[in-house]
Amino acid sequence: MKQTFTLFFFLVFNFSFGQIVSDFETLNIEPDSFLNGSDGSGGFTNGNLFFPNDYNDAWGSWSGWAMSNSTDVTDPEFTNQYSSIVGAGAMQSSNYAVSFVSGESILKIDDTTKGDSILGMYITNGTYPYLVIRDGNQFSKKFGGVTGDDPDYFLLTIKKYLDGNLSTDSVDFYLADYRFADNSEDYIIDDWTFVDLSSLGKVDSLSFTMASTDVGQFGINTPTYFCADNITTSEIIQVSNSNLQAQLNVEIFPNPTSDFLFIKNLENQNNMEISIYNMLGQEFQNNTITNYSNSINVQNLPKGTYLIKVQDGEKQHSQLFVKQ
Amino acid sequence: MSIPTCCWGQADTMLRVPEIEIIAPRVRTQVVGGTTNTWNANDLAAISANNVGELLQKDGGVFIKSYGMGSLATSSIRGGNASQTLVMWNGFPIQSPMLGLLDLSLLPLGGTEEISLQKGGNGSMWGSGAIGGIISLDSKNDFSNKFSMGLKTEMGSFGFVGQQYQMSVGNRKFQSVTKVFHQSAKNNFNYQPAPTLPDVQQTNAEYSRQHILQDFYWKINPDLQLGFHFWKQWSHQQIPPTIVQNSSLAEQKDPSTRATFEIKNTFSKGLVQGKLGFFEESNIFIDGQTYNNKFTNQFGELEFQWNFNSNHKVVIGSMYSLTEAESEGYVENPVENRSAFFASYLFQQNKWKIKTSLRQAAVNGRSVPLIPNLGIDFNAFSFLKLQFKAGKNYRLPTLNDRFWTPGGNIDLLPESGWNQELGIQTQFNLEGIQNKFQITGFNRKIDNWIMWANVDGSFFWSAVNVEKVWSRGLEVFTSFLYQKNKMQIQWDVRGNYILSTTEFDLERPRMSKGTQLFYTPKVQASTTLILSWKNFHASYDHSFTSYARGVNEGVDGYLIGNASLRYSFKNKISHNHIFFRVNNIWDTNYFVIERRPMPGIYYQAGINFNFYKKSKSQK
Repeated sequence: MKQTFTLFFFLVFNFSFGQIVSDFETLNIEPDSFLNGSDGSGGFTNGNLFFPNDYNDAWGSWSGWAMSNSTDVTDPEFTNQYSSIVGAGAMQSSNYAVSFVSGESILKIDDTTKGDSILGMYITNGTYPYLVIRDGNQFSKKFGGVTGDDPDYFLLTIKKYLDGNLSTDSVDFYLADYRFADNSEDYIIDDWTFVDLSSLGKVDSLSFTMASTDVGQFGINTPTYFCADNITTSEIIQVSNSNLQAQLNVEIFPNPTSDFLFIKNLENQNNMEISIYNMLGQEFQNNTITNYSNSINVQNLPKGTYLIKVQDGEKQHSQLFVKQ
Repeated sequence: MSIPTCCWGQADTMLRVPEIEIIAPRVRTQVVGGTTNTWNANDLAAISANNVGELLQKDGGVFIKSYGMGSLATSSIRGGNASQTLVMWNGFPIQSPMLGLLDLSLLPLGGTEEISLQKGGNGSMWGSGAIGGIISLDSKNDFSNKFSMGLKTEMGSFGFVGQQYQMSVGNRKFQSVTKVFHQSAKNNFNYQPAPTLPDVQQTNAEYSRQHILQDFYWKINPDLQLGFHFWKQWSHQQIPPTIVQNSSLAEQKDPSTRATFEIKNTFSKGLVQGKLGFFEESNIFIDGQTYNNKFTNQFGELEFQWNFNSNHKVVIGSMYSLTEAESEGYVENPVENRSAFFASYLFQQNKWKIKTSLRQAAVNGRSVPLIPNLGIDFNAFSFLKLQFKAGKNYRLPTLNDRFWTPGGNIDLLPESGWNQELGIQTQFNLEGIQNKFQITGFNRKIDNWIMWANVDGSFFWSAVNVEKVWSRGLEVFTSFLYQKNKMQIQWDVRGNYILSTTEFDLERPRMSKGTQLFYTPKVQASTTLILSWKNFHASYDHSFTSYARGVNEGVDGYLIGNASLRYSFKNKISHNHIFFRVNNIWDTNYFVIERRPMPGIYYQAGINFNFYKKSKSQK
């Protein structure tokens, strides 16, 4: 098992973040193969995450999570259920996870980091569902239907469990979307795409469900698989103030917010430099404000958890806020 | 177009009707309390159909669930599903024990000398599966034949080619009948996938089928007779894409070998008959991967009939079958043995005919419920006949239901339930117009209905017993016949109204109490007009099938018209037909199964030669 542990990318802050990335690269399997729980383990662990699966030994069937390094991007049959349409993991890595969602797939954070945030993950289609969506098969329709105008979609919905309760907030990710008036805009995800989950905040586990417009009396006709990789968990690390710069005494509100953040400097009237970062450490905004324009517009920020840093000369203040 | 022989005799007779056996008619095959449609060799030679599925749809009032021209075709009789129709060849079931069904498009017309359709169950006589009805294909001997030869060739739209050869040689002691069939089509018809779109051509829809059938009959003495029947089938068909599928490369092969042997000894008070059967069949599905499923069935049956006198007759018998199957879907290849004892009593006197039957079956040593049946015919007047039938019927789970991985359920119970039917038949002659009328009402409730469902949040589908399915309906048939000089006009009208509803709620598949079963239209109606003048026969039939629930979308009702013209000519040694058919004459764009297109208008033409030489004593 490999853990990629990115530490202290905000060392200057009065609390900082570590990241644990589950990228499955140290899970040792043969080339072009998979682990689907047939070993009776009930799942596998990578990073600080546990990927449960349900394997029926008598019938050789499974649901939940499998780990794979299959590379087949052409076979549209069920037997190719463990391949990603990219033919590799995210960032051209070898290994990745595949989930067969039968009702719901669950991803659990281990006990030591339970309550942390899952910042996001890379997601793409499996080869099997991708080709079925594109071409149809004997049981499933090609999206768009005979005219190409059917407003079809294949949707992955991610919710969180915290303290045993399922949230109402969710992150929707369309693995295929044919609802556009202009059919040329219709798409099926065919590359690894980062899905930001920071808006879910602290979690104990994640719930994955799938929906499709190709649904009959027997349920969803579209094969309910998706692939995931580089699942990044944020670990909040308290850092001693003694090693840091002097603290700036400011108030930042409201939190959460959907449009503006107000910053009240309680010490002086100087200009302040404001920087906003996402949980991967990427800077999203950089502004300078005065006491007379002490608000910043965050309407254009994607929903999620951010860190705001306020710098006034030698002093600074940083804190998390949630953009709704 | 022929009509049920229970109603009219054929106006146009041919030589290939076997001579009637007057020795001890079998009680077991007599249907009392219900109706049977029977097509003999003459009918089959003249009918406008390419296979048994089309025959039953056009002429039997049976809903055929067709996946497209030349594709899988299964029957739904009285609201039952395909596995609730028992299909027999010379007395033994030929359905796949793995799937429980048979593709009726694989059965050639003329493969046997007689085809019969019995609606309503008769499980006490014939065993598992005879819930909705029974389709029987029976070879018939003709010891008056000396030599006969038949040749039928036809061709039609979409590359359709059909050939049929038959040769019969024999004498009063021995007969040999050889038949060879070939049928193929490119099946590349055009269809309109949506009203706003141009036509597209069907692809990957070719099929090719060949059959060789050989019958031997040996009359050792007037009382003792042997029969041997052999049937070899090759079938290769491509599986076309649905209308919401870009393309398909799937194909399927269905080779089979079937053989039966029978010995029958008649005596003054009855008969003894023993039969053996061996069937071997493969189903090879290729779509990237190759899936090979195979089974063998071995049968043995012994039947004894004792005629106390002309009023009282008794039959007792037993059967045994051994089934072995191979498939990657099985963890261990299943072996299933079935046995049964059956008995029947027939009372016949004046206006009454009563038949009671009883069957006790066992599967791998486990008994299934006792199956009784009662049938009554009452000829109240010369023009009025009343019929009543009641009984219990059952269907054993298929091998896939029990052993398939995942989802097979070895603890499945057999489907079983009671059915009742009441029929009235009248016959009048009104100023030269003969009329026959028949109306039948039926009621059937089946417990432990077997279906594949997603239960208890499981991530795979499992075979389960669900509570009950209630089927009931009304079947009406009337026919008018007018004959004058060399002209004959016949008009038939047929209608079925069938409710077949679930008595339970289920989440997946989505079913709620009181809803009609999938692919079971409530209304089917058809009318046929046949005009015959001298040697010309013209017919037109028009049928209506109502809306049916599909598993993805509903299937709209449709109206289909077909027309045919036939010219017959004969002399002392031959009897021949030339025919021309126009199918779907109004070019209706329709579906029987959603997403599976059916062809628009298409044509077929052919010629049928029959040469014969009878034994002298029969000329």
